[in-house]
Amino acid sequence: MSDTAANIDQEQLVDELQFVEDGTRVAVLVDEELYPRDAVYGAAYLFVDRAWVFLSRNDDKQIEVRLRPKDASSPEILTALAGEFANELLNQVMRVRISDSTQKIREYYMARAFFSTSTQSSIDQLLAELDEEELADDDLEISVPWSGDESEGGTGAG
Amino acid sequence: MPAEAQTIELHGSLYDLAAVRELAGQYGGVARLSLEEGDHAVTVRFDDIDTDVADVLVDHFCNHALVETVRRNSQAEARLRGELA
Repeated sequence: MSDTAANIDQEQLVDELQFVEDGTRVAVLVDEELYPRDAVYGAAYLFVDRAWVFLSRNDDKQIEVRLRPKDASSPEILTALAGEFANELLNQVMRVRISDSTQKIREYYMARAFFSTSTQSSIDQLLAELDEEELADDDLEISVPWSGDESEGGTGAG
Repeated sequence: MPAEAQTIELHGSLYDLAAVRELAGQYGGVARLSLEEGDHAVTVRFDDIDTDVADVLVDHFCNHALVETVRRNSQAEARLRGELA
């Protein structure tokens, strides 16, 4: 019999992100070597509106994130909450990695935007075009509440 | 009659302890807070807790400390990037 996914002993699968729940709260154990602290902060921050969040340190490389729902709690809800947290943690890891990998190019574009004279001239050109458009008639003829023209828009209430 | 005293330990590597100190002053209306600072953590003790908020006070304080820590970390990071740019 060949080795297929169906033949993998489920006991051999190791949960990378472990959690325990006691009926009222769930504790997710996060390995800091796999999940940067900024990612833990980012994920935890997103849960403060619906859960009480507490961080503690078990050892140098492990953070325990405790979540207690502000509303009703049950083992199913806590398991789902831990799963959502795990997913969000992955999102945050990706965000941190993308942020790190694109930092140089973002700084480059910011510097170029601020200090390039050609950019300034193109901004001036755009502003001049906008001024010309504002001086032209409004083709859309949409009545706007901030317009001072009472002759076209005064047929509503009253 | 005030609720029973509670304590919580916030690890210095996870919470901005300066923020925790500042926050402690904001909770004077619902409890008397005292801080005991150790090498790696600060222990916050809540005495004379208003019974109306006793069941959520410590949790609320921890959420508040976390949010403030994240906010300050973001600001520090932005300042650092500004200086490096």
